[in-house]
Amino acid sequence: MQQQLNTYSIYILLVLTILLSACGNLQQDIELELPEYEPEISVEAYLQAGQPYFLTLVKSQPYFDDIRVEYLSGATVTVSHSQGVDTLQEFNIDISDPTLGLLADTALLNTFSGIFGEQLVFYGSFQPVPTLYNEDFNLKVETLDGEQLTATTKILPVVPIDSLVQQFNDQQEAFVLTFFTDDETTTNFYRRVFEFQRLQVDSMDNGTVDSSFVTRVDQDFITDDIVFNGQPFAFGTDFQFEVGDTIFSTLYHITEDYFDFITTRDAAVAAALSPFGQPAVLSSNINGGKGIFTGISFVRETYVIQE
Amino acid sequence: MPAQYLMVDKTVMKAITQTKPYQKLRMSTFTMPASLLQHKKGLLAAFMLLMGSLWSTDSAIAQNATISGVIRAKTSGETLIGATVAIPVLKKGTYTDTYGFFSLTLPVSDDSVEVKIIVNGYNTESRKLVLNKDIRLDVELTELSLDQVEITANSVTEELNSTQMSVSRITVAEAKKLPALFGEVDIIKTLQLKPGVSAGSEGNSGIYVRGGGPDQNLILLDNTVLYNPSHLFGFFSTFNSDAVKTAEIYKGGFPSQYGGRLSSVIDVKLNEGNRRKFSAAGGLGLIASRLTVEGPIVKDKASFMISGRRTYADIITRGINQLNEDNPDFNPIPDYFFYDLNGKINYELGEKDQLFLSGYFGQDRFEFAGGSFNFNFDWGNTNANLRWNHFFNPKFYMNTSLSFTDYEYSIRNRFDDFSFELGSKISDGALRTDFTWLPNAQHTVRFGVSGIHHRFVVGRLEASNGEDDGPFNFDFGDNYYAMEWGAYIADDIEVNEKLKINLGLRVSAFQDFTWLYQDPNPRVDSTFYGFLEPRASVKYSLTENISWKASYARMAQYLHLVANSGTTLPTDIWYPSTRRVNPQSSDQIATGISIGIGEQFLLTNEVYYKWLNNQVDFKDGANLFVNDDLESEFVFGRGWAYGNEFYIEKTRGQLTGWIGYSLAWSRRQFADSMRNGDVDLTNVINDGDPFFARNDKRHDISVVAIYSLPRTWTGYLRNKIGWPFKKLKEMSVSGAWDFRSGAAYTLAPGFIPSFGEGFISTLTGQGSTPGGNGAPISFIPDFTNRNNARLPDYHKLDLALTLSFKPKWGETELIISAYNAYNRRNAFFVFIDTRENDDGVATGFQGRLVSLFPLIPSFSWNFKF
Repeated sequence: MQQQLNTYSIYILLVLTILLSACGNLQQDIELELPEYEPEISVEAYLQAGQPYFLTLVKSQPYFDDIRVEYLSGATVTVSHSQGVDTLQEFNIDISDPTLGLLADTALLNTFSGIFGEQLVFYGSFQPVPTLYNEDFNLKVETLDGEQLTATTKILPVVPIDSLVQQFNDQQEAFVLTFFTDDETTTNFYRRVFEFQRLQVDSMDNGTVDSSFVTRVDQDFITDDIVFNGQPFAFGTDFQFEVGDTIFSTLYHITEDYFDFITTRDAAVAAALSPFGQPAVLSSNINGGKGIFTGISFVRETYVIQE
Repeated sequence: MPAQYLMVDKTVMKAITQTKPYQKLRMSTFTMPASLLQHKKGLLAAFMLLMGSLWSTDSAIAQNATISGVIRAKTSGETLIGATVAIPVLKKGTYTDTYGFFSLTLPVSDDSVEVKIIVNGYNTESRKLVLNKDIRLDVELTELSLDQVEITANSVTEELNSTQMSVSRITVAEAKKLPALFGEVDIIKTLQLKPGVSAGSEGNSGIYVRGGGPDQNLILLDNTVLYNPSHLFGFFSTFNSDAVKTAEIYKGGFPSQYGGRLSSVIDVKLNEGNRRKFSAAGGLGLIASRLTVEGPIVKDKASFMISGRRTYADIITRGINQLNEDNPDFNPIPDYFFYDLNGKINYELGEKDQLFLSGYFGQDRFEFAGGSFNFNFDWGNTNANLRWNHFFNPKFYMNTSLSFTDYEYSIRNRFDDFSFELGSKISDGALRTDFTWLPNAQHTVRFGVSGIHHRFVVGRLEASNGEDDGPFNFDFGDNYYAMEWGAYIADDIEVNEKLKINLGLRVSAFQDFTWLYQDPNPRVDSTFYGFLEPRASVKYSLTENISWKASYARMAQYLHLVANSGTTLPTDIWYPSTRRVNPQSSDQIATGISIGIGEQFLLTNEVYYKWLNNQVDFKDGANLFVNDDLESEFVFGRGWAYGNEFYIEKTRGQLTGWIGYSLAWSRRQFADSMRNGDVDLTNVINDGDPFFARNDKRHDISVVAIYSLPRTWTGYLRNKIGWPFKKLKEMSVSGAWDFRSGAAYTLAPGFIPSFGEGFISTLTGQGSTPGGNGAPISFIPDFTNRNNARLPDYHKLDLALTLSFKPKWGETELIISAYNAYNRRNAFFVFIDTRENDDGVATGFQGRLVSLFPLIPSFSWNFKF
């Protein structure tokens, strides 16, 4: 909600700017002198109870260099928790390997092959992340160069969706409310993702009919509980659904570190795109580097719009 | 004089009430212990000067006579500001104040002397007087005809003789001769052409003075604060050129009657209205039209002025929308317009009393309506001021003002039964009294008090689903209440013909009493802040044409603007000082030299250094919109700015204008924040290292020229060409060239590849993010140091041709102008775009520059009758 509000006046100003600058072709490439930059190590790891570990270890790059992800191989990566220590192993995946296609979206990966390089390097495990809510997970990374990075996080308990409620307007368009209850005793952070799927039927030239399901991400934002602390609350949608549409409503309960990471990440991206954002230094919970180490928990409800 | 009496002990008091007080006072003081004397030498010297010569007045009262009066324009009865009233034979003179009033006390004499009244643009008047008693001298001057007008901002003699430094005055007549964006004359943008005054981004009416922030300007419209003086995101100011008389900007050496902001005072005065006859003036421009009506209510006693302005792009866009009503592919263009209304009434109750009522109301409205969705965004100022001007006698008068001011914005979003409204506001009620006392020719004493009641509504969010309860009804935001007090005394002392000193002291205080309005549990403790704000300036005439000046001023600011962007947005909100948010303060020293070269040129050069204390900025990624604990996003630091300002002005002749050059530095440092009395190291900016302020522009050059074309040219057009030049009276061309070093901005020197949560899904087909993952990798700009890069230098030339006609029914003016005449692509901002190879595949990033205004020709037509 905050992100949406934040953008209103900036949005209007941007529209005006774009309108004006479109009139006179007022955009041009410019050689910018880049301030000095020392690349740093960035770690990203999202722990999901019952899912395998997955961690990326890369280096940042000067802004105007050709993009080529620089992976850090040979690092020692461990995650300790109340039930022991899990050691993550290094995976090197050849993007052009045809067997990869059984699992991954290789077409998508190939589009970015120039960026990823021929090999994808990450650290993971076959054993799942233990289901330990509200307990510390400690990450320790030691690179070949002897650099040490550490971080701590928790997996927060799932906040259930109480109900999904549909409502029609006069034009027979429905909107959907996702109700949940915030815990008053803690400060909570949420990520809301909303998608829907509709059967799209196209008449072909040869008289046949082709149909397919089209899925669209409709909402993806984060919020804290300042406005609704301790209250039942609902996220809404636009009046946009027809009978038969399938909707997927996902509610993530995220850590404050991850909330700050997303906030500053989005602010940094916005500030690079326009002068109206406040330049933000990426908020990271990694000691000795950048990035994020966080637990992820979510609940997803599926619902089909009824008459 | 009570303040001075209080500082003298009883013996002295007794002594000075006897016959030869001046002598006695000096003697009594000299009997004080030498150590004490030494210790407080400076203060005592100043005090003695003040006391001694003030006292000499009373003893000499029988030998002095005072000439006082109001100088007005003959045709309209408008008071004239800054008119010179001089007695050349005695080498004495003064200037009319902002109310057109002057008072000059001189030794009694039976000889007849000549008094001259000189105002640029008016015929000089002389009066022969015998100074054997107090004399009331109200003079009306006739305007020079159009082709005789000499445009000038600063009277050379006033600049050379006054203790006031770091001030620029612009008359609307002057601003109107200069080219303007879309032909819309803007007095604030004209002020930006003066050295030390800088604009924000291109075309913006935001003002940065001597390295200060845009929120550190006290903007007064007829003595009432305007909190957001801009329309359309700052591209136009709220000042309608038809209603405004003059604008003055103080950059330093602030007079004691002003307080509340750190970096400048912009004092805008409205026209009072024609006291003689009804008249109307107006104009049609490219984006807006204007109409002003003025006239007497009671001839020579009361007059009114009402002036309105409105943009009309929305009328055209509405028409386009209507034409496309049946087109399903057409996206309606949102409605946007702004308007403002100025009004003023003045009433002369008698010789000694005058009442003024003035008001401003302006709004920007943005509306988007489509189906069940409605979006409105409105913002604007409302202000009103009632001023009572009372003369106790020609040497002692008072102005008491009761005023109200309000700024608010609201964003209303309605979607079927659901609605939410987000808004903020600040509204003030203020009462102030200012006294001016001119005991003798050597002193002008000013003192006064003021009280302002502030009400702040910060980030009010209301949401509703049209029913009384339910999960969608909530009300969110904070109200704050505070009082701001001020009291001051200042004396402008003419020590001798060469030396003038102005000493002043302002005391200000601020009390947050939000708790008073909270029931039952006070959430905010009552907080009290106070400042002593000494002010001093000195002028020493090295020769008749060369003056040296120096000044010191401390200013305090209790209100803070919460704004997180590089441009003026209507959603910028004002926030009070609270327990956690301390007031800002500044100290500024300046020294300079003023040289009159002949009768036509004025040259000034000033050096200044300014310390800014307790500056406010915001944490990275701060949420400034809906936040119940906004203060937790604040960081506190300091700033300092210094520079040199060179200015040369040609005030008379066919060619007038000025060249200004400022060389300046402005830095900020947010090293460690105090939070609840503890040092908080987590909220530093730029690792706590100093960085250049966004408005740090090393070089700023303005060249402004207005050239009245020779009469032979107008004569030729009038007589040889005839129509349409038949009624042509005068022609002038003007140009303004502006150069500014590129402003500082923050550029991310690197990027961090980020795979994000979704990458698990891309690789394994299962994970936390369902459906479309989008790109499997993103690049996060890695910002490091604040304001680490520079925009390209800015420069631009504007040109205008003004044709003045004088048909039988009145006067008209056609202004043809070219904004950005050589079509320079100045940077409005720079952003980062992807770089692609020949196959259209993204390979990296590059900078792109966005400019706003290319060459814009425009015309406007003004009339007056």
